[in-house]
Amino acid sequence: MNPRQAPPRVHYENAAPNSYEWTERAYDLLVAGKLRAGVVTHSGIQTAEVSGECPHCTHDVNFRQVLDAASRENTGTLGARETAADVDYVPLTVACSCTESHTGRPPAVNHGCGVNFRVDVRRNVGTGRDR
Amino acid sequence: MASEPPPPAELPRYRKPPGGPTEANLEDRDRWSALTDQSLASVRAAAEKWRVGLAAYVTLVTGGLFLKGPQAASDLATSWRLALTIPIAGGLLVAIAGLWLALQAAAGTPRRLNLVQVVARFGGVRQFEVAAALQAAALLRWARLLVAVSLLLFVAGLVTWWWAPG
Repeated sequence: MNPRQAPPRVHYENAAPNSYEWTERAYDLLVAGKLRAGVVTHSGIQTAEVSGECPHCTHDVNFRQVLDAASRENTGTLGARETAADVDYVPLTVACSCTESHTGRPPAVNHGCGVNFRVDVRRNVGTGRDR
Repeated sequence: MASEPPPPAELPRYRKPPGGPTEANLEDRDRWSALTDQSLASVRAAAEKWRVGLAAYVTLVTGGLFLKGPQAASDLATSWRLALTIPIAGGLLVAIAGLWLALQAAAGTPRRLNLVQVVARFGGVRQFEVAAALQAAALLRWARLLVAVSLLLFVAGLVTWWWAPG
């Protein structure tokens, strides 16, 4: 997307927010380098970060999720339950968290364009900001 | 000479998911975010209960020592007194260390923070809270271990006392 060109204003997605279409488009954007995903580690705490062009609204996805937590039961890491299917990749469920306005956005929601998509990023791939 | 197998080809950075997010995926994500947010409060609350429980255990076992009375110990031969002093005094020291760590896990230590430094070191405030929770959980693990060791020492002291002549 040309940075000088304003992204088209799109309606908040209510009809099919979890459609596979968004995941497919997101994958194409990842391969094209317009969307980036990775897991950064700061002081031992893993955070998934996805930034770049949203497959729906084209604004910055601006998604972060801390993958570590502590609970009364035990400590764990989201996605750490390694099975044969996910040894090599970290599956992320991403929500567009752009800060632009979208018509039709519910009053209780203050960010995003409504879509959710999946990203599978190879393990041990950071964003160059690991510490 | 057999040639070495070729190195495995590096996997692509991204893999195309076979489907879009399911309701379970979305629920997992949202519940995990809530769990992350509650990490510190949850661990602190658990640590407080553990601290009270561990202190009660120590009180219970040391109460057994006082039932027999320090006076009775002074009547023992020096060698038996020494055999009693080591586990009981050791148990007390280890119990104090364990309860101190449990208190630290439950209450934390107030200190000055700087947003820029926190973000630079942990990547964000939420990550800092998770790191603090994990640190408290680690302290609590040590506290439980130390109090368990102290209870064993107290029990060893009590059993030794039972067998002491006089």
